[in-house]
Amino acid sequence: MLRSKAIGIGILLSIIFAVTAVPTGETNPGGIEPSISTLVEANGCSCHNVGDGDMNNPNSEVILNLTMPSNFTAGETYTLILNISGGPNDIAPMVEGPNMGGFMLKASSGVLTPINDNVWKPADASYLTHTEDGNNLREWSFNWTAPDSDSIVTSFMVYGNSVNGNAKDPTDNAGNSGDYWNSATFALAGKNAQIAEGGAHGELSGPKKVVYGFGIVFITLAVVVVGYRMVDQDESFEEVMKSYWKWIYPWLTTTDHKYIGTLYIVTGFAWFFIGGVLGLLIRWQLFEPRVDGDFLTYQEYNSTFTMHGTTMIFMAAMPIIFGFANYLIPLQIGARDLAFPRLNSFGYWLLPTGGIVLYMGYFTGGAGDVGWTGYAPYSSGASATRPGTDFWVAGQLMLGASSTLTAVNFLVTMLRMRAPGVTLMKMPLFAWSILVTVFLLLLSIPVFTVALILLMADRTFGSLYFSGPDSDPILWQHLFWYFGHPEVYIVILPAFGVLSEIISTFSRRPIFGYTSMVYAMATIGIISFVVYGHHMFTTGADPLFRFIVMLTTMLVAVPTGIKIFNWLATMTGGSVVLNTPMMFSLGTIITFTIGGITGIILASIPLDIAFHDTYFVVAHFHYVLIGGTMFSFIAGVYYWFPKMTGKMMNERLGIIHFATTFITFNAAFYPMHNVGISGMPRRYATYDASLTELNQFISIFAILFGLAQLIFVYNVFYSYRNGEKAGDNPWNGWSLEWATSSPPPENSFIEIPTLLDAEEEAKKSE
Amino acid sequence: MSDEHDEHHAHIETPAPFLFCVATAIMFIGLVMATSGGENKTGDAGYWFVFILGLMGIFTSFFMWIQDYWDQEGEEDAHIETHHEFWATISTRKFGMWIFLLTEVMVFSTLLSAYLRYRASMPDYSPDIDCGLYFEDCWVPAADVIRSHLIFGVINTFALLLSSLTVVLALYAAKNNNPKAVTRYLTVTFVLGALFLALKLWEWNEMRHYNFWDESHNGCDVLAGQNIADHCIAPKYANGFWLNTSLEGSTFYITTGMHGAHVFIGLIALGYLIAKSNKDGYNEENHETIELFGLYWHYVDLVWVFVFPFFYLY
Repeated sequence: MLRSKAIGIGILLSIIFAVTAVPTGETNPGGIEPSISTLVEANGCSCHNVGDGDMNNPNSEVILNLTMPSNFTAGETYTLILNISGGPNDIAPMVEGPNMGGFMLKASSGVLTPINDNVWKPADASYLTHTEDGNNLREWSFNWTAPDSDSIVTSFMVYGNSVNGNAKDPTDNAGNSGDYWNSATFALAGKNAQIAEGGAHGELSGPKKVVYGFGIVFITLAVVVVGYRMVDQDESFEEVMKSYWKWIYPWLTTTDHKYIGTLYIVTGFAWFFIGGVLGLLIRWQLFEPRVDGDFLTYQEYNSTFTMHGTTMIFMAAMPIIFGFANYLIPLQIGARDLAFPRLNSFGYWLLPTGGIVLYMGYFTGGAGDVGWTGYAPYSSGASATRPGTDFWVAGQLMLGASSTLTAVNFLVTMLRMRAPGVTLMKMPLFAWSILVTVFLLLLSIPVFTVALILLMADRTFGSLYFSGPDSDPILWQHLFWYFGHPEVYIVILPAFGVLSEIISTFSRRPIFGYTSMVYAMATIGIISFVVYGHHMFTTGADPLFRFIVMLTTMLVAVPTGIKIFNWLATMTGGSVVLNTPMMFSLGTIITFTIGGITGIILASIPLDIAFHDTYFVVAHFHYVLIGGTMFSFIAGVYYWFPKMTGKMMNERLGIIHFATTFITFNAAFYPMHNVGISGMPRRYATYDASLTELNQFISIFAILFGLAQLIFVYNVFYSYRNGEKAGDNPWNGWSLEWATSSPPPENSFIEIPTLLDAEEEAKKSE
Repeated sequence: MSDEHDEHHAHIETPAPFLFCVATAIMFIGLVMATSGGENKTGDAGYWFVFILGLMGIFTSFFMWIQDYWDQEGEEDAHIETHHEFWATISTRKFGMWIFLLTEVMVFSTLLSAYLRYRASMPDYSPDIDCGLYFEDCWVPAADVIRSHLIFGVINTFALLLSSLTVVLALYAAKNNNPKAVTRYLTVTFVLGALFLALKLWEWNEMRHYNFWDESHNGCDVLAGQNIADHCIAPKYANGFWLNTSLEGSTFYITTGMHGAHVFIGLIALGYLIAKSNKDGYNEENHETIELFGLYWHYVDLVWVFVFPFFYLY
C-alpha cells in the first residue's frame, strides 16, 4: 500500500517536473536584432544555390576580396572595392554579363554609402547590397566613412554570391540552381589601434605566463623536496618515490566517505584559490580603464571571467558542499558509509579530471570565453575560442556526470540508511538541506548536461540546435536557466543547513521552529524550478511569462525570511557563545540578507531591465555566493575541523580572519552596487573613466580580501600540527556526528547508534 | 559482535574509479583536439590516437570495476541495514536504479521539449502555404523522409519490445534456477538489441545519402509539391537528410542518437550479464542484477515508445 503510494507520488512529481522542462513563452528566435541572413532575405537578395551543396553552407570555391587602405583616419571617407572570383562560370570579374553575382556587406562601425547605381542601401538599413543592375557584375565599389575614433578596428562582413547566369527571368526559380555563395570578414585597423600580439610572435600572454610560472614553481619545489630527502635522509630516488607512492595510493583507491569527503574539501578549496587568482586578475584589469592588451587582451579577459565563474560554481562551491556532505551525512544519520562507495569515489575523481579538461584551453591558445552561462550564439558561433570552448563544454559534461551520480548516491543513502530512530523529521537540518539539494540536482543537472551535448554537437558535428538560420538561441537560455536557477539554490541551501547547525549549537538551544525550517527549505526547492525566467527579462519574453516569474521569484523571499527569523529567534533567549564559527555565521546572516534584498530588487521587471548585466548583478550574486555560501562553509570548517582532525583551530587567528574577511569583503563588493547603478556593464574589459576611483577602491579591497584568506590557510596548517586536542564533542553539539570519536574511526561508528527522544532516553537510563 | 561487524564492513579499495576518470579525461582531450584543435581549428587527426587510448583506458578500468562483482554470490547490498520500514520495501540497488532513471527521464524530456519547441515554431509542410523555394520555411518532418524506409523503424520497434519480454523471461528463468535458459534469453535480448542498432545505422545511412528531391529522375516539381511515393520530399533534402541539413535533421539524429547510445550501453551491460550467466552466476539467490538491467532496458524501450511516434509517424 505504502509502496504503491510512494511510486504514485514519485511518478506524479516527475511528470510535473518534466512538464516544467518544456520551454514556454514567446521569444525572438533570432535574438533582439534580426540576423544578417534574415535581413538579406527580407530585401530580396537571398544567396541562392540548389543542387550543389546545401544552401545553409557556404562554398569555399568562392573567393571574396575587399580592396581597402592599410589603416584609416577618423572621419575620413574611403572608396572600397569588393570583387568575387571562383564559383560557377568563373570568368574575368570585370566582364559584364547578365546575372553574374550579388553581395551584401555590413561594417561594424562607420557609415557605408553607395556611389553608383550598382549598389544600394535599403532604407533604415546599415548594410549595402547590389541593385538589379549590379546583379550583372562581380565587382562593386562604394564609399565608407570612418568612425570618429581611429583607435578601434572595424570589421566588414561580406556575403558574396557567385551566380552562373542561368536565371534570365527573375521569377524563374530554376535559375537559382548551380550558384555558390561564401562569406568573409575583413578587418581594417584605425591608425592608432593597438592590435593584440598573439602568442605566435614569441611573446607570452599574461595568463600563459601565470600558468607556466606556476608550473615552474611546482616543478622546482618537487625537485627541491625530493632532492632534500635524498641528500638529508640518504635515500635512493626509488625509495623516496616508493614512500610517496605508499602515501598517495590509499588516497587514489579509497572509497571511505571520510577520505573522499576530505579529498572533496581540499580539492574544492584548491580550485577556490585558483578561481580567486583569476578573480584578482579581473580586478587588476579593471584597476583603471585599460585598452586591449594593456594588461589582458579583451579575449583573455573573456576567458578569465569565464573560467572564474565556472571554477567558483562548479569546481569550488559544489565540491566543498559535497565534501562536507560526504564527511558528515553518514555520521549525522548514523550510517557506516554511503550506499554506493565505488560510485562515490567515481563521482569525486570526475571532479579534478573534469577540471583539468576544462582548463586545457589555457594550453591550446585560450580557454573558453563564453561566460559561465555559455550563451548561444556566442558559444555556438565561430567567435568562441577553439578548442578552448570545446574543452569548457567537455569538462562541464564530466562535472555534470559527477554531480548526477553523487546526487543519486546521497538520496539513496539518506532515505534508506538512517540509523534506528533517525526518522526524516529527526534528521539534523544540514542533512535536510542536502536532501533537498540532491533532489534539485537530480532534476536540473541532466537538463544542463543535455544542453551541453547539444552545444557540443553544434560545435563539432554541425547540428543546428543553436547555430542554424531557424534555430533559437533563446532555447539555450531556457535549458541553461532551467538548470541554472536551481543551481543557485543548490549552492545556498547547504549553507542554510550549516548555519542552522552552528547557530543552534552556539546559542545553546535547539533550533527554533525545526519543522518550519524543513518546510521552508523544501518550499525553496520547489519554487526554484519555476523562477528561472527572471534571468531572461530582457530577451523579449512574453510579458505574462515575465510577470509570473517575477511573482514566483519574490515568493522565494517568504521561506528565506522564515529561515532568517528562525535563526534570530534561536539566538533570542539563548546564551550565545561568540567564537569563530558563530561570528562567521552572524556575518553570513548580514551579508546574505543584503544579497537577498538586492535579489528582490532584481526580481522586479522594470528595475531588472535597467540593472540587467550591470555590476549591480555582480554585487548581488557575490553577496549571496561569497557572503552566503563561502562564509557559512568557512564557518563549517571552523566548526567541524575538530571532528575531522581531532584538533581545535586557533581561535585568535580565527577571529582575525573573520574581522579582516568581513571588512574587506564588504569594502570590495558593496561599491559594486554603486558602479552598477552608474551603468557599468559586467563582462566588459574596460569602463568609463569617471568610475575609475570606485573601481580602484574595489580592486584594492578585493586584493586585501584575497590576502586575508591566507590567514585561514595558515590557521588550517598550523592547527593541524599544533592545535589543542579536541575531544569527541568540543562544542557540546547534539547531532549524531558528535557521538563518535574525533577523528571518527575507520567504520565511522563502532556500533550503529540509536536515536532516542527525551522520553525514551529517560526510560533507558532508569 | 562489533569486531565481526567491523571486518565485514571494511572499506573497499579500488583504483578503478580513479583510472576510469583519468581515461575519460584523456578521451575528451583527444576528442576535442581531434575535432577542433590543430592549425585551422578544424581538427588535428593525430589526436584520434589519444581518443582511442582514452577509450581503451575506459574499457580497461570498466573491467577492473566489474571484477569485484564477477565472483560474487548473493546480493551485493545484503549487508546494508535498513531500519525504516517505508523505505525498505525495495533493495538499495533497485532504489538507486529508480532514482537514476528519474535523471534519465529528465534527459529525454529535455530532448523532446527542445524538439517540440522547434516543431511548434514552424508550420508543417502543406501545399496550401508558402514554404519557400526549398521548403525551408516549413517543417518537413523526418517522418516524411522515413516513410519510404519505415520498415526499419517497424522492425526496430518490434525488436525492442520483444527484447523487453526476453529480459523478463531471463529473470523468470533465474528465479526458477534454470541457468541455461537465463543465458539463452539474455543472448536473445542481446541479438535483438544489436539488430536494433544495426538497422538504425543502416537507416541513418540511407537517409543521409538518399536523394529526396530528384528533378531529373523522379520528376519532382516545386509547384506540384510533395510526392512521397516518388521520394519527392523537399528540395532542401536533395542531398540527403543529415544533422546539418536542417533543424528537422538535427533533432532527429540527436534524439535517436541519444536513444541509440542508451541501447549501446545496455548492450555492454548485457555482455557482462551473459558472461556471468554462462558460468551459472544467476540463480534464485542471485538474480537482482538482471532485474536492475531489466529496469533500465524497459526504460530505454519506453523512451522508444515516445521517440517512434514523434519522429517516425508524426
